[in-house]
Amino acid sequence: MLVSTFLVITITFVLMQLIPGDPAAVMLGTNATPEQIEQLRTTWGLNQPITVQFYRYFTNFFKGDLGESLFHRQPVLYIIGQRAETSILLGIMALLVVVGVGIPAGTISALKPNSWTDNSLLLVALAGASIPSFWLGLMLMTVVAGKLHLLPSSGFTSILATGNLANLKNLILPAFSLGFVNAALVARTSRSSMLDVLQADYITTAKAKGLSDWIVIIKHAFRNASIPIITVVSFTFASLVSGAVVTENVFALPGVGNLIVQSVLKRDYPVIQGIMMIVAVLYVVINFVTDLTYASLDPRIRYR
Amino acid sequence: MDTKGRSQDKPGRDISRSPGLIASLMKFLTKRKITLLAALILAAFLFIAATGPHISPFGADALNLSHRLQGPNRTHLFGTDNFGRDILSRALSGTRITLLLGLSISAFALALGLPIGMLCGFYDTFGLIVMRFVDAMMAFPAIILALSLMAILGKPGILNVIIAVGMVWAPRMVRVVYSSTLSLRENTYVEAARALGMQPSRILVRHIAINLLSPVIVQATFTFAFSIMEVAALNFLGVGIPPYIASWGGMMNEGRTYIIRAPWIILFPGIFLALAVLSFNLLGDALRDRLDPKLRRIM
Amino acid sequence: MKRRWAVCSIFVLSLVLLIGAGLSVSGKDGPRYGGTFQCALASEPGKLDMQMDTGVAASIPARHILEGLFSFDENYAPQPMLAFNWELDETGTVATFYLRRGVLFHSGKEMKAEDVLASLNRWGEYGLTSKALWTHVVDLVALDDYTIQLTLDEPFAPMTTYLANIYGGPSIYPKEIVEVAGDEPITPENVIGTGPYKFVEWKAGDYILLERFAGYASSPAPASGFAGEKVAYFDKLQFFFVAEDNARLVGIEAGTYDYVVNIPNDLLVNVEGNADVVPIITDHPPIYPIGLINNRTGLMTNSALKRAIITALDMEAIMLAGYGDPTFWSLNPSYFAPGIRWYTEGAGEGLYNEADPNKACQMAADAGYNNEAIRIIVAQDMTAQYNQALVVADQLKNAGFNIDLQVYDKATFFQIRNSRDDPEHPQWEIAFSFYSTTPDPSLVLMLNPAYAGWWDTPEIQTLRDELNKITDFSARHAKWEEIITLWYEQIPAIKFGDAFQLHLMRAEIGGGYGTPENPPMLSPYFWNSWKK
Repeated sequence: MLVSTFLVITITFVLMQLIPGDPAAVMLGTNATPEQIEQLRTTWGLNQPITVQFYRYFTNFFKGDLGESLFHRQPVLYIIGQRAETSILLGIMALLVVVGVGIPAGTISALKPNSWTDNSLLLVALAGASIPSFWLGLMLMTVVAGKLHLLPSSGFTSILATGNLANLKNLILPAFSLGFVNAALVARTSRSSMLDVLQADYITTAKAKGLSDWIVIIKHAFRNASIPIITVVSFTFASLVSGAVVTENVFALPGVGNLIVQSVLKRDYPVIQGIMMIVAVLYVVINFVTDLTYASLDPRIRYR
Repeated sequence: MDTKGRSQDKPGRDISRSPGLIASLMKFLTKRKITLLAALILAAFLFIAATGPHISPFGADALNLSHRLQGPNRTHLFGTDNFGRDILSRALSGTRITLLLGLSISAFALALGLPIGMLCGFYDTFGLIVMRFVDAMMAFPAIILALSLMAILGKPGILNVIIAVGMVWAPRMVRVVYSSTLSLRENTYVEAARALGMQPSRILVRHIAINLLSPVIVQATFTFAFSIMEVAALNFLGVGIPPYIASWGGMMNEGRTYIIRAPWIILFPGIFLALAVLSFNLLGDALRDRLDPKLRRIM
Repeated sequence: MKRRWAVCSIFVLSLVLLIGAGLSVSGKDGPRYGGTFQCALASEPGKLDMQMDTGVAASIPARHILEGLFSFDENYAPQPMLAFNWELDETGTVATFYLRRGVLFHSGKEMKAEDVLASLNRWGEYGLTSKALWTHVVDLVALDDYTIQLTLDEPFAPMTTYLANIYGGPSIYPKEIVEVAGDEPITPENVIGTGPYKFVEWKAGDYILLERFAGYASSPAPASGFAGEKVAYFDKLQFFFVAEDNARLVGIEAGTYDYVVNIPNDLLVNVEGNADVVPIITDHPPIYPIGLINNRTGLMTNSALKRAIITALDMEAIMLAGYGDPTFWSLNPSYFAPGIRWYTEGAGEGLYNEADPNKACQMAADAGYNNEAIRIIVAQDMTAQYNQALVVADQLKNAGFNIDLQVYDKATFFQIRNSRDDPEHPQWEIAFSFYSTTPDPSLVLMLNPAYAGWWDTPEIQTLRDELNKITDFSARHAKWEEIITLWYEQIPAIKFGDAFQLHLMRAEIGGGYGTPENPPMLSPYFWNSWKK
């Protein structure tokens, strides 16, 4: 995990070196005077050897110093922190949709393979995995918020700051449009792993013992089918983050995803770089945790 | 030594070695109805891309301000946008650029992924080091990496989109090629070739590259599906190809303003995109099941 | 000390309540105190320090926090704001400003001459729109705590206009703040002014929150535009940043917001018949969509070619593409809109809206045009401009011009458009933008030789200098007419027409920006408005 974190930071560093031209000049714009550029180069330590720069960059990351936004003139970490609540809540709600829709749908399919229900669920899952989440979001926004006025269409105000839990309803449409696409993926995986498990001998034995179908599913099948499902759910993290970028943009949510789009449009490189690093390190950590979960679910797997 | 039996279930044998290629292809397509459907949709898209402007009722960029924001009607089957441009013609015109971009990105990922993956699979130390980097690259969620690369590359443009999205999918291609090379390397005929003192470069090309064909084809199909989705997302966010080139994502971006007044501007390109992604996904699934069911584990 | 403040604020508060009570007798929908006013803006500003920002986005919240010595009334005439009176000596070069007493900053400190002096000096040195005035300033001194004197080297007619302008203009801050800030923009929490609202919080990407300043000392003059009395009825003002047009639209329909600005005109049909939402069409003053032309160097130094280009253009189609239904725009070749006192008649005859591609083609050939590429640059995120550019490119291509349309994001667009690096190698020929009405012709950016377009021919140099020296209105108007005539000879920029903006307001808002009570100005303001 430490090696991966190190590499992730290295890659971000290398990528930012690729910005064409002098980063200081690029960041100050063409109206900057040579003195201003030189001053910024000194502040950033750009005149030092590249190894020294890398060392500084690396240690700063662990000190939590990700630099300062060019646009907001505030520390990058602070800006990301302000946006974190929305994104985390959106992520949790979308994950609830993924798990709450995906796993039951997959299980139902697996119980009656090749039935009418199975086939139609499979088709929905296939279509779901192919629909762009932003398109789904826009369509939901038109119908549910625009025509029926059932739910708010956009925006989100902090629950931490206002204490108003009702704000969560602003996240329902985004979470659904984001979660649906991934739910399709999870449904397909849980279907096939459940199918594998349900055909195993111990399930037949359990059924022969006279246990009811549902008890069998919950006590035996789920436990054994959970590993591939957890893998997919943890993969889902990356795809949720990607999806969140466009979803937050569509629904005008003040989250990290929208922040990176705005930063790309404004060429706010320190913010882009900060988000890249944080998200990638988070991914590394989640993978690590997933591996640990495997080990606890299946004693045969030992984490090396 | 049952080399024959072992190579039977190795990738790349079935299609290339069977007597009637066309016949087996037809069999493959018709085995499941849904695969056939995917193939038909794909054929339709290819036809549209090839004939392009000849079959569309209007020019994709023809402005007609007196026809702006019309709903679907007889003249404009899919309606018009805020410039009075025909949505059907634009969606058709977007097919070509979408397929071209998907193809270029898959080719880009392949051009990087195939040699790097093979070398990594063949030389252990090199492989260990490079694969750590590849894994780290994969830690960046696709769209975030693509967005950042677009910001770094500067101007929106077709070439920049190919590089940005290609760089996202190349590591995934490396991974697939690497795992397949590792397993191929253990094959007796490769070991035999080594023992005979055959040069590593010849082994790579003659024994491994040929057998990598099927995992690579399958991965390329998925890369195609994901990359056209991602290109659409970039265009939708306004950081992809220049907006005056008709593309599905770009059309959806331009139509955002009018989604309540003129939802057809977004509806139809969205359906085109979903169909294209769906057919590539289906085809990828079918190819994978057909060519090598074991690939499921690494993809 | 503390007690005196308490007494003082109780006094102010009861005064405010008395006025409120007095007004609320007038009817059940009459002005009422209280509530949080939620307004959705289309973009997030970069900063609130208006000396350092020319953006409309920043000015909307900042106008409630900051004040200057002068403010524009509804006729765009500068009226004293923090000054209560001023005089100019007979030479026209020495101006004396008398400050209002008892005006408090949000920090609680009283505003005095030293604060004004420090703020003006910082503005003069670093402010974005100070240059034209400040090059004439010889001396700036405080005569006492409430009097300052400004000495110029020669008369500068639009002086008070410059002092009333907020975009990069001289907002007054406490001395301690500006002295520390220098050329760095003042951070939001230090944006301390004398306005009716004070800064509370800026949640990046989400909102800016302001709250009523209990110690506000209002101008005694009757309310008119940005000038005169300002009553803060709302307890709080919350400005959200909602870039997505439909999100703003649906937000106002659902009652999430009380006011949303800049809704695309084509979307008006969506709220027609909705009794909860009041459409506000700000046709006076309109905004001016303009194609800037690179006059400094390259192809576009050829005025005959520029006249050929304008001859090809069908302004109706261009305005339709940019601003939708014809109720939202009108054609106008003059720079200022009819109804604004600087409007000039009969401009651009035979050139504006000719829409004659054949004639244009001939004119271009006569001008020596040899199929060189004409680069049109535009920002994709400026939707109306992008739409117009697409149509202009189409029309010019039809007239036989070789057009290279380059679309950028806003940041890159401005970077390229404003690039001063290499005058010998221009990076663009036509750039699309839009401007709000300026209170005075001398503030028209196309006249500024340092502004993108760089119109600096000897003819305009002379006229510009003359314009700045004349103080008499009708003489200045005549001079401005000469400039417009020159405009259509040299075509420093292409004015497409006058465009109106659409804002939406909830019906339960009383007063409200853009209604007859609070007529539209350069940008929205929400004092003297209330929730019914």
